Amino acid sequence: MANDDNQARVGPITPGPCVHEWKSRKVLSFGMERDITQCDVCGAVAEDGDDPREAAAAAKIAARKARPDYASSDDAIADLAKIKALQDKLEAFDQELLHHGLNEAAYGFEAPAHIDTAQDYLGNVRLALNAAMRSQESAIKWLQENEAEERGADSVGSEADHNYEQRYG
Amino acid sequence: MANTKYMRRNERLDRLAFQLGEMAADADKAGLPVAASDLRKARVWVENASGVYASKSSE
Repeated sequence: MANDDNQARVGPITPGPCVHEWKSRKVLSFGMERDITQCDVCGAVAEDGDDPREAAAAAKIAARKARPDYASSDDAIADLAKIKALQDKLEAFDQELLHHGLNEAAYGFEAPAHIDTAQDYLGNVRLALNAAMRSQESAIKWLQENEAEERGADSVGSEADHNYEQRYG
Repeated sequence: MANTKYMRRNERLDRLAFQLGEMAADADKAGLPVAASDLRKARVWVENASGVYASKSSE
Protein backbone atom coordinates (compact mmCIF):
# COMPACT_ATOMS: atom_id res chain seq x y z
CA MET A 1 0.00 0.00 0.00
CA ALA A 2 1.18 3.52 -0.69
CA ASN A 3 2.84 4.99 2.39
CA ASP A 4 1.63 8.14 4.15
CA ASP A 5 4.24 10.31 2.43
CA ASN A 6 2.14 10.06 -0.72
CA GLN A 7 -0.48 12.34 0.81
CA ALA A 8 1.97 15.22 0.45
CA ARG A 9 3.13 14.30 -3.04
CA VAL A 10 1.83 15.85 -6.23
CA GLY A 11 0.85 14.60 -9.68
CA PRO A 12 -0.68 11.40 -10.97
CA ILE A 13 1.12 8.09 -10.33
CA THR A 14 2.97 7.64 -13.61
CA PRO A 15 6.19 5.62 -13.52
CA GLY A 16 6.82 5.71 -17.25
CA PRO A 17 7.25 8.78 -19.45
CA CYS A 18 4.04 10.00 -21.07
CA VAL A 19 4.00 10.32 -24.86
CA HIS A 20 2.22 13.69 -24.41
CA GLU A 21 -0.39 14.04 -27.08
CA TRP A 22 -0.96 17.78 -26.72
CA LYS A 23 -4.30 19.26 -27.74
CA SER A 24 -5.51 22.84 -27.49
CA ARG A 25 -8.81 23.43 -25.75
CA LYS A 26 -10.77 26.17 -24.04
CA VAL A 27 -11.70 25.80 -20.38
CA LEU A 28 -13.79 27.85 -18.01
CA SER A 29 -11.94 28.88 -14.87
CA PHE A 30 -13.64 31.03 -12.24
CA GLY A 31 -16.07 32.19 -14.88
CA MET A 32 -13.35 33.21 -17.37
CA GLU A 33 -12.62 31.33 -20.56
CA ARG A 34 -8.95 30.58 -21.15
CA ASP A 35 -6.85 28.62 -23.64
CA ILE A 36 -4.77 25.70 -22.46
CA THR A 37 -2.79 22.93 -24.12
CA GLN A 38 -3.44 19.60 -22.44
CA CYS A 39 -2.05 16.12 -22.89
CA ASP A 40 -4.84 13.70 -23.76
CA VAL A 41 -2.97 10.85 -22.10
CA CYS A 42 -1.77 12.06 -18.69
CA GLY A 43 -3.66 15.33 -18.27
CA ALA A 44 -0.54 17.55 -17.99
CA VAL A 45 -1.54 21.16 -18.71
CA ALA A 46 0.44 23.94 -20.39
CA GLU A 47 -1.15 27.38 -19.95
CA ASP A 48 -1.57 29.70 -22.92
CA GLY A 49 1.91 30.95 -23.90
CA ASP A 50 3.74 28.26 -21.90
CA ASP A 51 6.02 25.81 -23.63
CA PRO A 52 4.34 22.36 -23.61
CA ARG A 53 7.81 20.77 -23.37
CA GLU A 54 8.38 22.52 -20.03
CA ALA A 55 4.95 21.40 -18.84
CA ALA A 56 5.81 17.85 -19.93
CA ALA A 57 9.07 17.98 -17.97
CA ALA A 58 7.23 19.29 -14.89
CA ALA A 59 4.62 16.54 -15.27
CA LYS A 60 7.35 13.90 -15.39
CA ILE A 61 8.98 15.24 -12.22
CA ALA A 62 5.60 15.35 -10.45
CA ALA A 63 4.90 11.80 -11.61
CA ARG A 64 8.23 10.55 -10.28
CA LYS A 65 7.56 12.19 -6.91
CA ALA A 66 4.09 10.66 -6.80
CA ARG A 67 5.31 7.13 -7.42
CA PRO A 68 4.70 5.12 -4.27
CA ASP A 69 7.13 2.56 -2.87
CA TYR A 70 5.35 -0.78 -2.63
CA ALA A 71 6.53 -3.63 -0.45
CA SER A 72 4.74 -6.20 -2.64
CA SER A 73 2.56 -6.45 -5.74
CA ASP A 74 -0.43 -7.27 -3.49
CA ASP A 75 -0.26 -3.74 -2.04
CA ALA A 76 -0.09 -2.25 -5.54
CA ILE A 77 -3.08 -4.39 -6.60
CA ALA A 78 -5.06 -3.09 -3.60
CA ASP A 79 -4.38 0.50 -4.74
CA LEU A 80 -5.37 -0.43 -8.31
CA ALA A 81 -8.75 -1.57 -6.96
CA LYS A 82 -9.17 1.80 -5.21
CA ILE A 83 -8.47 3.68 -8.45
CA LYS A 84 -10.89 1.45 -10.39
CA ALA A 85 -13.59 2.04 -7.75
CA LEU A 86 -13.06 5.79 -8.12
CA GLN A 87 -13.35 5.52 -11.91
CA ASP A 88 -16.66 3.66 -11.56
CA LYS A 89 -17.97 6.22 -9.06
CA LEU A 90 -16.95 9.08 -11.36
CA GLU A 91 -18.81 7.60 -14.33
CA ALA A 92 -21.99 7.08 -12.29
CA PHE A 93 -21.65 10.58 -10.84
CA ASP A 94 -21.16 12.21 -14.25
CA GLN A 95 -24.34 10.64 -15.57
CA GLU A 96 -26.30 11.95 -12.61
CA LEU A 97 -24.76 15.42 -12.85
CA LEU A 98 -25.65 15.61 -16.54
CA HIS A 99 -29.18 14.54 -15.73
CA HIS A 100 -29.64 17.11 -12.96
CA GLY A 101 -27.48 19.93 -14.23
CA LEU A 102 -26.65 20.50 -17.87
CA ASN A 103 -30.04 19.61 -19.27
CA GLU A 104 -31.28 22.81 -17.64
CA ALA A 105 -29.39 24.90 -20.22
CA ALA A 106 -32.71 26.00 -21.69
CA TYR A 107 -33.43 28.08 -18.58
CA GLY A 108 -30.68 30.46 -19.63
CA PHE A 109 -29.19 31.38 -16.26
CA GLU A 110 -25.78 30.74 -14.84
CA ALA A 111 -26.22 27.36 -13.10
CA PRO A 112 -25.54 25.34 -16.29
CA ALA A 113 -22.29 27.31 -16.79
CA HIS A 114 -21.21 26.37 -13.25
CA ILE A 115 -22.00 22.72 -13.95
CA ASP A 116 -20.04 23.00 -17.20
CA THR A 117 -16.99 24.23 -15.25
CA ALA A 118 -17.41 21.42 -12.71
CA GLN A 119 -17.41 18.99 -15.63
CA ASP A 120 -14.16 20.48 -16.93
CA TYR A 121 -12.54 19.62 -13.60
CA LEU A 122 -14.12 16.16 -13.67
CA GLY A 123 -12.58 15.71 -17.14
CA ASN A 124 -9.17 16.39 -15.56
CA VAL A 125 -9.96 13.88 -12.82
CA ARG A 126 -10.84 11.30 -15.50
CA LEU A 127 -7.48 11.85 -17.24
CA ALA A 128 -5.62 11.58 -13.92
CA LEU A 129 -7.43 8.33 -13.07
CA ASN A 130 -6.79 6.86 -16.53
CA ALA A 131 -3.09 7.70 -16.24
CA ALA A 132 -2.99 6.27 -12.70
CA MET A 133 -4.60 3.02 -13.88
CA ARG A 134 -2.09 2.55 -16.69
CA SER A 135 0.78 3.44 -14.40
CA GLN A 136 -0.43 1.16 -11.64
CA GLU A 137 -0.82 -1.75 -14.07
CA SER A 138 2.74 -1.34 -15.30
CA ALA A 139 4.00 -1.00 -11.70
CA ILE A 140 2.22 -4.26 -10.77
CA LYS A 141 3.72 -6.03 -13.78
CA TRP A 142 7.19 -4.79 -12.81
CA LEU A 143 6.72 -5.85 -9.17
CA GLN A 144 5.42 -9.29 -10.17
CA GLU A 145 8.39 -9.84 -12.49
CA ASN A 146 10.75 -8.89 -9.65
CA GLU A 147 8.95 -11.19 -7.23
CA ALA A 148 9.11 -14.06 -9.73
CA GLU A 149 12.85 -13.49 -10.14
CA GLU A 150 13.34 -13.43 -6.36
CA ARG A 151 11.35 -16.65 -5.95
CA GLY A 152 13.48 -18.25 -8.65
CA ALA A 153 16.70 -17.11 -6.95
CA ASP A 154 15.56 -18.44 -3.56
CA SER A 155 14.34 -21.84 -4.72
CA VAL A 156 16.40 -25.08 -4.54
CA GLY A 157 17.99 -25.93 -7.87
CA SER A 158 17.88 -22.32 -8.96
CA GLU A 159 20.57 -20.67 -11.04
CA ALA A 160 21.96 -19.09 -7.86
CA ASP A 161 22.23 -22.53 -6.19
CA HIS A 162 23.81 -23.97 -9.28
CA ASN A 163 26.43 -21.21 -9.34
CA TYR A 164 27.09 -21.71 -5.60
CA GLU A 165 27.58 -25.45 -6.05
CA GLN A 166 29.92 -24.93 -8.97
CA ARG A 167 31.99 -22.42 -7.04
CA TYR A 168 32.09 -24.04 -3.58
CA GLY A 169 31.25 -27.65 -4.27
CA MET B 1 -44.22 30.86 -2.53
CA ALA B 2 -41.00 28.90 -2.98
CA ASN B 3 -40.55 27.30 -6.36
CA THR B 4 -40.41 23.59 -5.48
CA LYS B 5 -38.86 22.63 -8.81
CA TYR B 6 -35.79 24.79 -8.18
CA MET B 7 -35.75 23.71 -4.55
CA ARG B 8 -35.55 20.05 -5.56
CA ARG B 9 -32.77 20.83 -8.02
CA ASN B 10 -30.91 22.71 -5.26
CA GLU B 11 -31.21 19.71 -2.91
CA ARG B 12 -30.04 17.24 -5.57
CA LEU B 13 -27.01 19.34 -6.46
CA ASP B 14 -26.16 19.71 -2.76
CA ARG B 15 -26.20 15.93 -2.49
CA LEU B 16 -23.99 15.61 -5.59
CA ALA B 17 -21.55 18.18 -4.13
CA PHE B 18 -21.38 16.12 -0.94
CA GLN B 19 -20.60 12.99 -3.00
CA LEU B 20 -17.75 14.87 -4.73
CA GLY B 21 -16.29 15.64 -1.30
CA GLU B 22 -16.41 11.93 -0.42
CA MET B 23 -14.76 11.02 -3.74
CA ALA B 24 -12.00 13.58 -3.07
CA ALA B 25 -11.32 11.90 0.30
CA ASP B 26 -11.21 8.51 -1.49
CA ALA B 27 -8.75 9.93 -4.04
CA ASP B 28 -6.52 11.18 -1.20
CA LYS B 29 -6.59 7.72 0.36
CA ALA B 30 -5.64 6.16 -2.99
CA GLY B 31 -2.58 8.46 -3.19
CA LEU B 32 -4.02 10.68 -5.95
CA PRO B 33 -3.71 14.26 -4.64
CA VAL B 34 -4.14 15.91 -8.06
CA ALA B 35 -7.40 14.05 -8.74
CA ALA B 36 -8.54 14.92 -5.19
CA SER B 37 -7.79 18.59 -5.78
CA ASP B 38 -9.76 18.63 -9.07
CA LEU B 39 -12.66 16.83 -7.38
CA ARG B 40 -12.74 19.55 -4.68
CA LYS B 41 -12.69 22.28 -7.36
CA ALA B 42 -15.58 20.53 -9.15
CA ARG B 43 -17.41 20.41 -5.82
CA VAL B 44 -17.14 24.21 -5.44
CA TRP B 45 -18.75 24.70 -8.86
CA VAL B 46 -21.54 22.23 -8.18
CA GLU B 47 -22.18 24.13 -4.93
CA ASN B 48 -22.24 27.38 -6.90
CA ALA B 49 -24.81 25.89 -9.27
CA SER B 50 -26.81 24.68 -6.30
CA GLY B 51 -26.74 28.22 -4.85
CA VAL B 52 -28.20 29.60 -8.08
CA TYR B 53 -31.15 27.22 -7.83
CA ALA B 54 -31.52 28.05 -4.13
CA SER B 55 -31.89 31.75 -4.91
CA LYS B 56 -34.25 30.99 -7.82
CA SER B 57 -36.39 28.85 -5.55
CA SER B 58 -37.03 31.76 -3.20
CA GLU B 59 -37.99 34.25 -5.96
